[in-house]
Amino acid sequence: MCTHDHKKNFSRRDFLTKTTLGMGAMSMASLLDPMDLFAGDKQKLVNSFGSGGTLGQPHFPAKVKRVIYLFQSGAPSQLDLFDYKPLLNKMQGQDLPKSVQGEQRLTGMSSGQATLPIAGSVFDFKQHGDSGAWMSNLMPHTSKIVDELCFIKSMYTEAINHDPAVTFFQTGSQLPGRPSIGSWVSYGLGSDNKNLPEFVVLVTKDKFGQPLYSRSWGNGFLPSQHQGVQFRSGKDPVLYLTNPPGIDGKSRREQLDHLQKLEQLNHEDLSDPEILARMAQYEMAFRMQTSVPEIMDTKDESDATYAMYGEDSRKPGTYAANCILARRLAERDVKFIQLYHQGWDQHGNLPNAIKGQCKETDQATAALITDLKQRGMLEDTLVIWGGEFGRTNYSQGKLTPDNFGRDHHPKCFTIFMAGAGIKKGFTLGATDDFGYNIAQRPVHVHDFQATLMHLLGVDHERLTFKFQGRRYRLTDVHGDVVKEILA
Amino acid sequence: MIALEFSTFLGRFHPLFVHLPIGFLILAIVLEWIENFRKTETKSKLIPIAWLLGAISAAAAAFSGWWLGETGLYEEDMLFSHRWLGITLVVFAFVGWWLKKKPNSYSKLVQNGFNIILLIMLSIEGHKGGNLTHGETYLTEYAPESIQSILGVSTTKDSITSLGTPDSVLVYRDLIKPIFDSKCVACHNNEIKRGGLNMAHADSLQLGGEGGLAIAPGNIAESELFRRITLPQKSIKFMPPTQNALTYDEIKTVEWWINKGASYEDPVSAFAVDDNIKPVLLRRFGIDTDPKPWYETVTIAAADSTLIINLQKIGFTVNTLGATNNLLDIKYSGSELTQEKIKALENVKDHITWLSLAQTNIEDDWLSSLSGFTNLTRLQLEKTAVTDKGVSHLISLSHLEALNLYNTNVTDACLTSIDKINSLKRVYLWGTNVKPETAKNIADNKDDLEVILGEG
Repeated sequence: MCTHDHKKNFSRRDFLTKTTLGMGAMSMASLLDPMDLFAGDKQKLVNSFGSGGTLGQPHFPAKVKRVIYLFQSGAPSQLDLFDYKPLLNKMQGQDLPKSVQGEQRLTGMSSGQATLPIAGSVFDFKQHGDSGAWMSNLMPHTSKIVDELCFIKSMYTEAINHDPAVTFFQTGSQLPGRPSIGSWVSYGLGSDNKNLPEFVVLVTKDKFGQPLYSRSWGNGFLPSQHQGVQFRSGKDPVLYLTNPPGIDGKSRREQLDHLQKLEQLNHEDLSDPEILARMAQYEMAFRMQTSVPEIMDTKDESDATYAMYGEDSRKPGTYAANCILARRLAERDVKFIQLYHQGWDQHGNLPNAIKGQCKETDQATAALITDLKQRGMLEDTLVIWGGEFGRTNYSQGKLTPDNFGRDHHPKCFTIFMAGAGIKKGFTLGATDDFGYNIAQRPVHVHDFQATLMHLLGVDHERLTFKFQGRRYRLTDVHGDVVKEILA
Repeated sequence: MIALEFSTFLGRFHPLFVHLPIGFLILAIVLEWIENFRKTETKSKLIPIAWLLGAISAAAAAFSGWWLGETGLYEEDMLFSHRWLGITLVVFAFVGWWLKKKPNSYSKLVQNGFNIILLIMLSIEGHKGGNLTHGETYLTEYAPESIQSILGVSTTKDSITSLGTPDSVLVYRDLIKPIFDSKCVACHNNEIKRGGLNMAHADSLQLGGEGGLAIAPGNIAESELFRRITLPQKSIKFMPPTQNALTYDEIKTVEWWINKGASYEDPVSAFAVDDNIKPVLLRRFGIDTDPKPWYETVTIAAADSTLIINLQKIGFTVNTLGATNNLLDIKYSGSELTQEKIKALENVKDHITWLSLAQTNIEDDWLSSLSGFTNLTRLQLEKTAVTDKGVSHLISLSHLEALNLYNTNVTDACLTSIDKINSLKRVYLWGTNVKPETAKNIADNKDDLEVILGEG
């Protein structure tokens, strides 16, 4: 009830301003270009372009038409995966110098420790590919495709705990209530496939750790048809989508038609735009009754595909199976596909736990990128891999030769991308020798979001929504496009 | 001539002495005015003494200041006026002492007039000295905006200026000379040629200075200028000596210019742009040296709207690339494709840059309609029954960069056609009858062509 569309119910004040100013504007327009006043074809054309998004057409050519965002929830340790810091092994066990730590706040989990013992990675690092990107032996499959990837090693965020950090990454604000990236994309650019939602979320099943809240794919104050739709594994991929027992498609259709009429009356009376949103969602759900089973039925995938994504990919709900689904959704032009994989929050027992995480994700991530490439889809699809912050270079808790943990570290972490519009085999930014501070080209979360929108053809400063008296945007008042990574 | 070290030692006393005359002289004038205000009968004998102390300390300040100026660490034109105004001030201070010894010999007008002139000179001199030491913006840098605007101080911070395209920006005129102008020319110009070097013009710069060639084209090791700007900053020979060293990006730009032959006329596009300088050019000057994709270089009027509406009616999804780009991105999303529908595309053939006919019943012969699509850069034919014959219709596409033939019926024979599409950068051949060996062969022979065959 609180979007600006509601103002379509004119108040006395609105009536007076709009009629007085409006008449002036109309007479002005007719003076300037009398033929254009009752906009003919031109107006029609603008409306007919695009895919039903608010923008009609992108601000500038969209190198990326769809995004697959592989969100690694819990914050993977950049120091054990990508950011090779031999100095940490040399200084193993020594207290982290105060000069390196600076003013950085620590979480309550390690701020009480008497010492902050430096913990080098126990994994072997090697350079891979023509680009010479450093990777540890934790990700043997991804290591093989580094020449397709673009690493940002100098990401930083403001949040130090999981939920605010995930919310910040996905919505541009640490406080809940703003629309997520996928919702902004759906709102701005609309859909290329009327039978599927623009924004689909896939969460690996049976993973634990830090909770995920659905606000990460929520629509915030945008009309609610722009929220992410979660597809689950199992009998009911989308909850409450199938008809109740005893109701067939025909009666469902009939029921919806009557409901439409009622809702229409309701809308004429109240002018609440959420009524329109609900009608759009009912209709979408009806179309999804056929489109979703078709997506989820992966019987037509070849054995070679399953072999490529790993044996896990045959088990619905795993990360690997979700990667195949992500590709199937992308093939059907779903604009924003977001996977969540929990369990990267290794405060203790890191060496063992991270091995398990990598085993679940490495092969499928690499397979997804390779698969998209061989189908020619990397021409206009972007894949993103990353968590919400990084992990500390010192051990949380006791440091032993083969076991340690790492605490949250917002000051630097690594993400990578692959696909349309960005450089291949490229690394941007660097951290210092301690892997604690950024030494080169810091990239803020808002910069990342601005760049993502830029690749989708959207000027992040011009996609706004007026709510509670001011115009909001994904990047709030911040964000610069990271031009160095654009191809 | 005393040794440079010793004269510098003397010179460094300047900031110590310089505040004494300011204090003494102001004190003397204030005391005199207080006495005038109180109408004191007998004038104090201490006032001329304050003037004398002021004059003597001013002389000491001027003496040490002279040697400080000789160190060459200050910009010449500003130094000139500071130096000679200072010396004049010494003379005035002695005259003042002489005047004040006989307060009654001269009228009040002369006495007060003299005081005011001296105060004005003192303020100007002090301000100029401050500017020399701390820079001209020191005083007003953090002033509230309203005060800055009253004073007419420009508040522009160092921002990235976007210059333009690589072929319109001249390296020397637009990138190098502005650096020299702001950092070097104050002391190396037509009037003051420190070290015999004049950097105000390209001709005089090429002559070099007393130390030989300032710029040795293609050789930074022999270029005295580059050596001087990259010395340790503590070095007495480090340039510029005014605490206004060149920034990292500026040094990199100068290095690149010298290394690539130090041309005075060529635009950026005539220079070899390596990966080291690329980000500097982008970051510092806003020059993007990466070649633009073809579709961004085409300017074309918007396509006729009725044609577009007709295309949409027969099953094509039509989008413009963006609000600022009139080229079209078209995809067939209807059920049954026919040759007539393909022919309808010919009406907007110059506008189509991305075209997807993937997963349709497209036939080889229909593709002949596409041969005149001059601005087509991406063509998707995957998951169709297209064969080698269909591909042969595409050889005249002069800007095609990406061709997707995944899961089609093409064979090795299509590679001869592909070889003829000179602009082609990527071709997708997974799931076809093309053999890996033949594909590898063509990729090796053709520069910039990537053949994507996929796995399994």
